[in-house]
Amino acid sequence: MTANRYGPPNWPPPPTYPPYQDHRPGVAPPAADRRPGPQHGTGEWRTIRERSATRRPARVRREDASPWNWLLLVPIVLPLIPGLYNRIEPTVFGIPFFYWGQLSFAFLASAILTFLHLKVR
Amino acid sequence: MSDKQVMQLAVFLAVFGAVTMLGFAAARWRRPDSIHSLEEWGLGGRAFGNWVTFFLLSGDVYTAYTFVAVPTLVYGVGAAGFFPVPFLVIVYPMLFVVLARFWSVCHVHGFVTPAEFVRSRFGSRGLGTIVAVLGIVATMPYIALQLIGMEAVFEVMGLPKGWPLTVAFAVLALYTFNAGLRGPALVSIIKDALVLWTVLAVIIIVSMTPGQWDVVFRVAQDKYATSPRTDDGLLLASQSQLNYVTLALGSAVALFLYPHTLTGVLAARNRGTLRRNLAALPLYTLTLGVLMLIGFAAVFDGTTAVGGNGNTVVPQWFAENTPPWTAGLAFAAIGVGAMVPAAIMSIAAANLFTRDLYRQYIRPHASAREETYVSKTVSLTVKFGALLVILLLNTQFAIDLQLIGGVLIMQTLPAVALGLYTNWFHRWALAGGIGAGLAVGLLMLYQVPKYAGDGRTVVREHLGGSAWPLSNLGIDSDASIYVGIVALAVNLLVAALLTPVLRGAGAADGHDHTREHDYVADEGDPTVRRMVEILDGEPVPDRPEQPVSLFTPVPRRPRDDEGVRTR
Repeated sequence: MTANRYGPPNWPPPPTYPPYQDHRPGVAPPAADRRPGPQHGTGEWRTIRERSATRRPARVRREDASPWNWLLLVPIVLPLIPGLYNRIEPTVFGIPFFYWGQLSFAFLASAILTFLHLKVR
Repeated sequence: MSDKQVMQLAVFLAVFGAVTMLGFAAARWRRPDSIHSLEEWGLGGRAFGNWVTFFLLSGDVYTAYTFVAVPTLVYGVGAAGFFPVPFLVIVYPMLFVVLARFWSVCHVHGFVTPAEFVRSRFGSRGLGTIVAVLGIVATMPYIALQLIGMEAVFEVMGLPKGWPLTVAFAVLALYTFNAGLRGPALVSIIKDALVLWTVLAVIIIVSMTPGQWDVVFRVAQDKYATSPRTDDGLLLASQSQLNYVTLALGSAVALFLYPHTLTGVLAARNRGTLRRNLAALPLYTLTLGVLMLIGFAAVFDGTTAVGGNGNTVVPQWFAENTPPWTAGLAFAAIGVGAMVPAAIMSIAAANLFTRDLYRQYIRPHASAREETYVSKTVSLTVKFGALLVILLLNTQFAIDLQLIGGVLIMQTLPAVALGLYTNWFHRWALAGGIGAGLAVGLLMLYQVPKYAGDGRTVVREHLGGSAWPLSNLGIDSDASIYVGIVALAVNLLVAALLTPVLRGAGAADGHDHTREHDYVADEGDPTVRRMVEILDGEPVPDRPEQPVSLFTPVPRRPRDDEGVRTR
């Protein structure tokens, strides 16, 4: 799994700073930092390198991803359900629904693809 | 030959002459400085705009064999033969996002074939070779199939079997040799005009029959009701539904993976061109849908096949029911519709051979000119090989091979299509998956018997079709399933299971030469190399940095490759 073999597009990552902390002895570190895993030598907070070793690699979001693309499933799935169109009635110009219904899916597919082409760049 | 046939032949020859001239003229159309590179000869300079891409893709997908064989299937079994309509509807939404990614990565890296992409993505020459060989093997019978469509037309016009087909293909081979992908792209415009007229003719003729479609379908229904078959009819029988759906899905997957489709796609100018075309092409399926209804019209008019060749039903219907000149145009539509995809397929197979076998194993340092020469020669060889198969062996052999070819090409899905999204799969796992899929697919195809027209008598024990009866599994049902889908499922399962096993065993991953951004790059993006710069396989030299002075602006000296062209 080498999503960032060349480094992600936003490399190097923005610097992260340790949160401000009270270092007086006897004061417990804030709850958010009491996480398991390798700790810095003083046991107060982890270094960036140690943290990135334990953290799962960030999920890279594809540049062409869009929730609108789920719409594509409609013209793919509908023609694959014969129960929807396996009937004679209603007929149009005497052509059974089985035939003109499936042909009309072509208009549906074309309309959805046109919409997506304009909507998602 | 009757008077009618003479008229049909005259119209056919006139169109054929125009097509020939256009094919040769195509070499001069948008003439590049040098056609001796695979980008120019094999991909038309990768610069086709909206219209040309539309004609190229429609010529590529809606082939003569489809126009001839599918209505014949509808004529024989009714609803079950209608599967190309859902197939050619779902294929475009399936490809809408995927093909744009494929276009981008191929443009950034200068790939001409899918096998080159696989080699680069998974860092494995062996895997690339497997994909290339599968592509070539699957494409060759497809070319032979186009000849079957043309042969049917010649038979109805009363021409003998051998020489007309040879002459037609020699002409096709010559202009493809000369003009490359530009030839079929231009010829396809004529083809689409002819198809449009043919469709209109069908609609007009049936509308003029008393009772129109209503009567046509009623007569067809009576025919199926009285036939001894149980799987025919105006609607799908319950046992045919699974096969109908899996066949549509499998055909859609296979169409995407066939090298000739991808060749047509790569010739588009930019991502927008491609996406606009994918949005428009479902409407072209309507023409195929109307032509399929000829199957019912042929039942109504009592058309019978000529000389026992089932594929002649469609041309024969035109010969009997339309004026001779319209029949001639319809025949020309089928003939030209055979030549366009045959040319693109031979170019695609030749590119696969050149880039993935010749360059990899025979002459790694071949120049662009040599590559083009090899490609041209191979495209000729492939076409004449197909011609010999049809003339010397029987046509059934080509149909059987095509059946196997569809199952073969589907097995490249994990590497090519899923490879566009992830490099998670291990290269050896993908190879193992392909091997398993092929083994299962071929075994299942071997088990399918061929039935006679009544749907019961077994004509041949093996390799009789792609519908594998589920009763082989011991399930008590008449249903059957498309072999390719099962083989693909096995392939995916093996690839997914082997990948963690191989990683665990410490097998090294291949080096992925692509980056995520390559998959979304578009024309004008700096990572997409300018067409002028792409010289096949030769690395593009980095431009030297301009000298920069902080104080005095230095006038920029024009580089050698800039400035006024002398030619």
